[in-house]
Amino acid sequence: MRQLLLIILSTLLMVYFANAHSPLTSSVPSTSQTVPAAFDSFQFTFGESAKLVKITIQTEAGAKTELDLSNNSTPQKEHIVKSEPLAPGFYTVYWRALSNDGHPIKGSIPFKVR
Amino acid sequence: MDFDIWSISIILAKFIGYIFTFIAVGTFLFTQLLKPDARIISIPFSLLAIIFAILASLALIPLNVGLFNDEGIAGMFDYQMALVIIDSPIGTNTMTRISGLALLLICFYLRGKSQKIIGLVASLLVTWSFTQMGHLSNIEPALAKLVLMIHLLSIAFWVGAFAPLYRAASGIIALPDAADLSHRFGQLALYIVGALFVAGVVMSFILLGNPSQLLTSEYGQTLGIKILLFFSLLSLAALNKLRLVPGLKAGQTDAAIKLRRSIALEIGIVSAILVATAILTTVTQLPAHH
Repeated sequence: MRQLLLIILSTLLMVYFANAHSPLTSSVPSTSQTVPAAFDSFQFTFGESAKLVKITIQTEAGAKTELDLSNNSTPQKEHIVKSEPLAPGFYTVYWRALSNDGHPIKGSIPFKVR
Repeated sequence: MDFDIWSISIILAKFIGYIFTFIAVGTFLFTQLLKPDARIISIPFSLLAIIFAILASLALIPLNVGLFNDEGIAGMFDYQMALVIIDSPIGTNTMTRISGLALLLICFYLRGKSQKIIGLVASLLVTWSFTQMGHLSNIEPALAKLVLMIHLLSIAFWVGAFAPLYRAASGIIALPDAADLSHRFGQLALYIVGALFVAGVVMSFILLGNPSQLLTSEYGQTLGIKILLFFSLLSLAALNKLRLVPGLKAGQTDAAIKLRRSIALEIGIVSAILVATAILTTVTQLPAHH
């Protein structure tokens, strides 16, 4: 039993220290980008086609708004998601998607509205 | 590689699902191919393996819902999100696998030809479910899926053999009979492990494209760990076949003890391989050439 745990633990450790890379190839806004006032159009570009599942915008104060994805129901490489025009401030957009082969993929992008 | 509580839970559920699914399918294959003494197949263990495999597969739906919502435990019970997941390859894969596992359960109540046919259909259905999602599911040619199925059936045969061979070396049957069974398993395993290895190499080439990716990409590195573990498993299997099984044949009780220990260690290594696989299929991305 001890040997078994040791083997599993060492495997987990070995793979944990491998490098990471994101399946999202580009986005608007990009990480830490400053966008003009009344920004209202998010763009997500994936390396492979993916289905957006959930997009949430969080204000600096922690208030969350979930964006409507009814126009983004088909898997594709590029998604444009509309939101209400954003007031100046700091935000984070959290995205969740399903890759075409069924893998859950996700990430977050902090940005600023001027 | 991004580990959070949801990814870790999914990896754990996949690992439990893999191991019990392979035990379920493997016990059927082992029984059909080697016709062992019925006393070394534990029916309660086999039934529990199928039930655990079904539960672990089912758990993937709420766990993925939780992962997507990322709103704590309550986020697991979002009906709309559950529908999205069920409609995705995750749902298709889960349903196909559960159908196959349910057929395997039915097999316990069948005898003769019907048991063979239903069991075979169930085993193919279960292994086919693995081709419905994951890195190989969108890759052409579709022949790659057949290669994956061969790989999985071979693994199932090997994993399914652990418990019966362990029980055989525990004195449930006479040592020479245990030696005979282990010997026949070893002969057949030569071909089956060969098929497993060749299928693994073919899939690695399809997925990575270039052997240098084994070192340079995250996916390749995790796969490399799997390959190293596979070779350590192979050396244990060789020790069993060349040293311990002949000892068992000669009636040496210490050979039986060593064989049981060796099988236990093999189970440990296979578990590590399956953990690496669950990580590969959950949090790593293929190198950029795809």
